[in-house]
Amino acid sequence: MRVHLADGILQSPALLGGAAVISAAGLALALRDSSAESGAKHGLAFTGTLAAVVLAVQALNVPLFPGVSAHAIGASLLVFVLGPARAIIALTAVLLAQALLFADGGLTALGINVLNIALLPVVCVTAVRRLAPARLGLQAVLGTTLGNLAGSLCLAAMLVVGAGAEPRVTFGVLVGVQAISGLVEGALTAAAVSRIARRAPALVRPSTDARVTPTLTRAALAWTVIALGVLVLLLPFASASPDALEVVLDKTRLEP
Amino acid sequence: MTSRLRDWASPPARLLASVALVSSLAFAPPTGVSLATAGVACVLVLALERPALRRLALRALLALLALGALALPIGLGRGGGEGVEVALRSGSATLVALALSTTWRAHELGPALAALGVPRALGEVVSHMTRQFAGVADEGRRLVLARKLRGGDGAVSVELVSTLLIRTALRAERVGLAAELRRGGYNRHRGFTSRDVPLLLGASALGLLAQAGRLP
Repeated sequence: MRVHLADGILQSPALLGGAAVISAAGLALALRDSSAESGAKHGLAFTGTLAAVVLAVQALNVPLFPGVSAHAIGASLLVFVLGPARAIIALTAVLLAQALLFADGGLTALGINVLNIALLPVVCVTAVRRLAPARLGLQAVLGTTLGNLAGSLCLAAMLVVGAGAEPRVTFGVLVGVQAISGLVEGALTAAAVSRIARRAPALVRPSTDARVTPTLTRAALAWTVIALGVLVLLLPFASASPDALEVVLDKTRLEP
Repeated sequence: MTSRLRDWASPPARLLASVALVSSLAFAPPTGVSLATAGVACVLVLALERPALRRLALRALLALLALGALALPIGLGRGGGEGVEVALRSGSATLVALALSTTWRAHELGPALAALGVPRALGEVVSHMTRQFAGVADEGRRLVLARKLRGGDGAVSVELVSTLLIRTALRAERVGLAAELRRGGYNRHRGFTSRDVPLLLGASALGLLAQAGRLP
């Protein structure tokens, strides 16, 4: 099961538009935040070259059980080395390249894929790094697992609400697969990060770099309000299927 | 005029044509007209580009299998007919995207994005990523070979990935320094040219044709 959403699966303008607005806002914040960090060592070339490693890692699919496989997201590894802002930019670049060069992930679903594969995992890893600043292994395992779970939960909810997918199968398979692959990826990331910290400690950024500035918080709040506004405006067009209230009313209607 | 699409259409034109055509197919009702349009687009692109068809067919098969996995729960939730519709619509858009992906040289992507107004930093990261990808893959292969020669099994391991990341980081620092010394990024691009007109008109026409199923 791939986490990348292809073109034509979701047609809801509310979900596609809302996700695109949230992703664009997240990317804009990341670009602004990263522009403050200058210097050759952690410049754009550094970000791009490490994004190439993630592009290579994401090309490897790991079979989980017959018929179902998952691939590493690499978000946590990038957060540890690049920090959250540049990790978001690198993952967005990876998703753009995958959509255009490999037709892996839809062009119209790019907003959703950025939200689920870049923003949510990076936010989760960053939050865990802030909460447990001294434990690299815990940060990697918990952050990666939570990030994978958040992305797959969001995608499953979108498929159920926007495309009318069967909820039990969708949540069961997507979230189940991603929980398992998150744990595996988290353990591998923890091992990789601890080796890197031992052999090249300067490469692992300290947890304090994952702080969120008050300006950034205000901007994030403002963009969240805008995104919610877009969602509310477009919600009437969300799905051709009856909504939950209509279904309940239909089922409880008294026969004459 | 050379025969391959990538040689006569500029990167931003190919990007724009891809976005227009694939988006139109992704939102078109899966009628005979839209499916035929997707087929015509695939045949035209492949005839002009002449990629390795066996490799492309394998990629298409994998993409369609992944689509089937996503369409299945939709079919279970909304009925088999709707599941098939979603699979047909998504499949046609994906196959056209796959055909169009053969028109790209990886290093053209960053300049194409920059020409269409994507933020400079993102375009630069895409450029560095696509240019360094082959180098990273080569480095990985060298590491595997070195391990095999020392008597190891050469399997992908945590040790190998972390070594690759450290070496890549060192390489990235050199690349970054070189980029600074050049005082410019990779994204000195060529924009649209008059030779892009047939591609853009063709993509627009096919995109509109795909939407014909919406007409009463």
